[in-house]
Amino acid sequence: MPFCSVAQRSPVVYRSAVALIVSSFAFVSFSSRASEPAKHISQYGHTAWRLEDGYFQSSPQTIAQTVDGYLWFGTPTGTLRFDGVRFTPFTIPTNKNVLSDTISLLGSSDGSLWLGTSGGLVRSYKGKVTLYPQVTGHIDAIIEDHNHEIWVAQARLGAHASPLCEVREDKAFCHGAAEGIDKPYAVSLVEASDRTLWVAHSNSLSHWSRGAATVVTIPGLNHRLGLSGIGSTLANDDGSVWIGMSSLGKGLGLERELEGKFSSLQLPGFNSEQIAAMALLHDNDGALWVGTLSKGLYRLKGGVVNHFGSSDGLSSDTVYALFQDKEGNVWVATSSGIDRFRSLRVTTFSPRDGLAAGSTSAVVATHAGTIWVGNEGALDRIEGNTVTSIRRKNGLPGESVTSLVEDRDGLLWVGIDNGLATYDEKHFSSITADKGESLGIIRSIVQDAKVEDMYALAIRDSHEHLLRIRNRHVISDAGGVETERSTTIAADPAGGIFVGLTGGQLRHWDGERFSTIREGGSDHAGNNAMTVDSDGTVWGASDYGLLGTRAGRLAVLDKAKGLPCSAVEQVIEDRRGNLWLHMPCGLVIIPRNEVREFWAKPEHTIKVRTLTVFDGYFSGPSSFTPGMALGSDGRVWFVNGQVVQVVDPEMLSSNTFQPPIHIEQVTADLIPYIRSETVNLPPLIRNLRIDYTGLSFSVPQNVMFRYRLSGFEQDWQEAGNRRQAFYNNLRPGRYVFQVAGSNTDGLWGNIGDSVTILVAPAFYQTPWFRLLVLASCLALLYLMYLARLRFATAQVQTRIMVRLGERERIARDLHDTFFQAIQGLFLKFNAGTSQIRKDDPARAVFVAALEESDRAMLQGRELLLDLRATMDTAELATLFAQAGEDLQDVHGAVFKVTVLGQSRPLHPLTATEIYRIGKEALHNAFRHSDAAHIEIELEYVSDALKLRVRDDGSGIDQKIVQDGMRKGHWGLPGMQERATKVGGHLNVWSRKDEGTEIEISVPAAEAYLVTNTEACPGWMRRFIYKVLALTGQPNA
Amino acid sequence: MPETQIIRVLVVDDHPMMRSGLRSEIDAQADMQVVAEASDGNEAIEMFRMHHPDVTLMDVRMPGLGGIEAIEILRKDFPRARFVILTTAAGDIVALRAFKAGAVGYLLKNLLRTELIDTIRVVHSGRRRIPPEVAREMAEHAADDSLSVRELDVLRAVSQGQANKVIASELGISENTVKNHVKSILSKLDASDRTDAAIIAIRRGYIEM
Repeated sequence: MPFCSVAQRSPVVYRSAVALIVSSFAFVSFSSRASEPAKHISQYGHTAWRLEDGYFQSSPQTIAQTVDGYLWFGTPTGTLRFDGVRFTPFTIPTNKNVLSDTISLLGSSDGSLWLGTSGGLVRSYKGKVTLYPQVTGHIDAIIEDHNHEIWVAQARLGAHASPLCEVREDKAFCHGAAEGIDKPYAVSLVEASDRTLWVAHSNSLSHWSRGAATVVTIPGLNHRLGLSGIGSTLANDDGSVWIGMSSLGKGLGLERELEGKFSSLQLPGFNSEQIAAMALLHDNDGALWVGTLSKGLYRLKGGVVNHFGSSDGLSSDTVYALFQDKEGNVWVATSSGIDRFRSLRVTTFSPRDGLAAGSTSAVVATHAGTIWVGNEGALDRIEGNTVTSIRRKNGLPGESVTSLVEDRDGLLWVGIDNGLATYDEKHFSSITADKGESLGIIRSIVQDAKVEDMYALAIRDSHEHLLRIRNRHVISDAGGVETERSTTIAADPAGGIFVGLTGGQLRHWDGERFSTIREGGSDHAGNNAMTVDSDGTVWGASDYGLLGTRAGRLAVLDKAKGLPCSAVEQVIEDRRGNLWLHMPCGLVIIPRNEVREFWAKPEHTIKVRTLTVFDGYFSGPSSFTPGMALGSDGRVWFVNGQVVQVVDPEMLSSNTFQPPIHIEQVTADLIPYIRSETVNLPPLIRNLRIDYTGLSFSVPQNVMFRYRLSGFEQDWQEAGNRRQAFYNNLRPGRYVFQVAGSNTDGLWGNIGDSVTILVAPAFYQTPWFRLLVLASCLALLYLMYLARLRFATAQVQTRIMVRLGERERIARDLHDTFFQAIQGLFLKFNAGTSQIRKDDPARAVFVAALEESDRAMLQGRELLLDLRATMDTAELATLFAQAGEDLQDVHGAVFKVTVLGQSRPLHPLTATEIYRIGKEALHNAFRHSDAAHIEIELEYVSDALKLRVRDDGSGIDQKIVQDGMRKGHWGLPGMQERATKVGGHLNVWSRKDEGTEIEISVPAAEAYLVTNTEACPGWMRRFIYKVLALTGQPNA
Repeated sequence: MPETQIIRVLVVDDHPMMRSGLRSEIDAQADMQVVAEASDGNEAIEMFRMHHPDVTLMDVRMPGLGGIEAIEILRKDFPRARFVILTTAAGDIVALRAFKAGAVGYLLKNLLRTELIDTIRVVHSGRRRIPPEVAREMAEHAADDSLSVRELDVLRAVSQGQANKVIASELGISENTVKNHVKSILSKLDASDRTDAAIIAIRRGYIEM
């Protein structure tokens, strides 16, 4: 077996080189988190919005973020507002002095947006736009100083202009040559840490400190005189200033000025004199970002330079502006679009970051802190953020690296191709079987916790073999049949190894023999990987969940128990005892207390943290072990068959950034309404659309919304990541639209924004109109009722008149014929009787009979009179009033007629009787009671007609009651009799010297011409009841 | 009283039974004889001219020419003719009209049985005969204002139960005028109201039943 020497660059030499560079350019480092290695730009999540995709009309030149959260991009054809999803043109109200091209932008701390155009300065604050007539130049820079004052640099004004202007309130004050400013134009502006201003011109800078300036000239830029020789400036904390120039060469490019001295920066692969820095940015991690004129983007940190250009996906190698938003995303404006770089929780090492190939098999972290990654054609080594590869040419004894492990002596065991080798940082040494044949594909290799023995699970001739290696020799092929279908092994901290089988079985090998710890089952099939945690639990990653075995107990953690899915590829425990699961649906972290809770309460649903593709995580299987590794610094590494990724558990603090939520616009029937506290809409809105947004720029598609339109719905609508709400056919009224949003980690904030929407009623939707309609309906019903009543009354009246006519005819007939005949007859009888002898007893009989007949005739005549005597009783009350007035001549009592209830047509015969009774009572009252007040009360109730005649006189004398009145009047008995005749009822109350009340009550059927039931046909009655019920009135 | 003196009576009534009854009652008297019968005013005039009766019993209400009208006509040619009005009503107005026309007796039909013969005799003897009820009624209203023709029209309409409005339109006068007439009628008839007036009008004979 040949031993291969390693011909790679010595790590020691490399490290010292780094140290040298860092020390010589110590000012480069502004490290905030020293532990984090300098990130590659490619390890950021990168997204590009390109010109050719139609997002912009022209190249973005400048970027800003306002306090309300919006991002703004200035282009020569206008300014665009961006909410993470939508680009909305921002229009400056027309003013001939202000062009719409935007050269510079600033979102100041007071919430204003400042726009620098080629012809002036514009401030937009809460919808109000302010122009500054004092500033009319080409505004190349706008900054806010430590004192929150706004400063602008302007150019293209002419020979004697003042290029530096400060804004106070609504006015700008400009400073120029009088205060020592070198040139009448300025192209860049920066406030140094000592609060002086650096005003950049074409080939010089004015270092301005209120009222005076010292000029620094850069001779190399003289040929740029009149042009923008200085492209960018950036202040450092130490008082120095970066100056980016568009010309290259000695003392040009990117230079650092400190106390009047210029210096350049030389780093491996980076000579600042050859960098035309057009944009400069310090990010939150203390790294310096440099955007160049034609070489893309550089990120410098800790002496390490990383480059990202169009070949890496940057929209263009010509960078105009750099900006970091509140969430930490770095935005790059290039000649061809916008690029966003967002920090990912999961850092990826791919071939682009130096990995030898995109086919990772295993990862192991050494005690020394080195990460080894098994790959195709190489064993990759990651130190810091740098990847180096050991390939065959460097001594790798094969092509495909399989399993890896570091033994207690720090020796790296490397499964390679069909064999196994050790690596001691210099040489690989192969392990061979006694007979020299290969060991097979090493699927898994571990070291016994108690003894020096190594165990390897090898596949040879399609059979699994458990190899025991001592002193680099295979001493036994343990198991034989017993190791069939073994998939993975793990060291038992108590000695020996655990062996997982495809069926989910778990066995233990104590060096002598196998014992079965867990029987398998179809439900628990597949042991992809195993780990033993600090509590002694053996965890098996299977396609059906995480199989935990502890003190003979088996428990399965799967989707039902709270995992986002069930298949588990890898499992590892971190330094804090949390379990990390490599799963197809994400990298799942089970906190230690949840694991314990799970064992304590089997029914407990665990709460986990999941990192997904949005965090930079890629899933994928790894066939060899270990698929996950815990670095000496606590970071968790894992492979997925393609790349290797790493997460720092200490950097997983929850994202507490709450996206600002804004309701942007209310659109009703395609007409947009200006957003204000209250939006007034016209009547009859058919389609209402409300656009809202949540300003998070890292993963805008993960910002979820819920909204509610109070006044229309009670419950919140889950809108997902939709940023519009739609409503149809809103009734008139007052509504409040509220929207809340989550951040990208699903953390919900309070109600983010709300708007009151007033929908005006159409004339027919007003309450008045409804009342009117209701009133009209009721009136109509009443009219129908009246018409019906009139019709019924007319019918009954006709009937009555016919009957009355009949009575009259009968009366007349009786009178004219029958009575005459009888009378004639009686005369004959009389004549006959008179011829009977006076002493004849028959004569007396006849005479008596004839006398009786006279009385009978008289009665008959009276009846006839009655038959004919009907009267017009339409207005009983009026008749009584008239009668009372007449009677007042007799006795001057105060007389009053009262009608209660709705008067109704009365039956003529009944009414005649009632009138007669009433009049009789009135007569009595007026003539005999000597009352001061007499009143008559007519009450129409639904079931009866009541007549009351009362006085406050002397009361009825019993004698009068009994004897009756004068002729033609019939006294109380007569009244009683008449009342009874019409089915009524008479009540008399009288007390001496107190007065009298006579009440006649006649049932409705007798009294009224038409009763209720007759007036309304059934359907109408039911309808009326329904209407009454609808209007909420009690049944009338 | 002279025995040969037979009182010749003409009976005028539209009803045959009534005529027949009167005839039998009169004929039953020795000194009376019904010489002719007539069933209406015109026939009465014809019969009267033919028979020159001593006493004519004349019904007031008959089809065609009424009794009072017939009396008026006959009295022009026969001023001495004796007419007795036969009527069912005891109203003073009919009586007054009758007496104005020249009647000398007034017989209420319900009193025929007892009063007929006496009345014929009294009238024949040249006296007048008025039943006490009628006499009282006439005396009671002797001082009353008489109703005007217009008032009579109104009263007639009122007694038919017509409302003022209807009366006004029928008579072509205003409702107010009708009201005034009604007021005047009530006062003249001493009626307390319209119904009362109607009843009084019928009773007193302003209006025939």
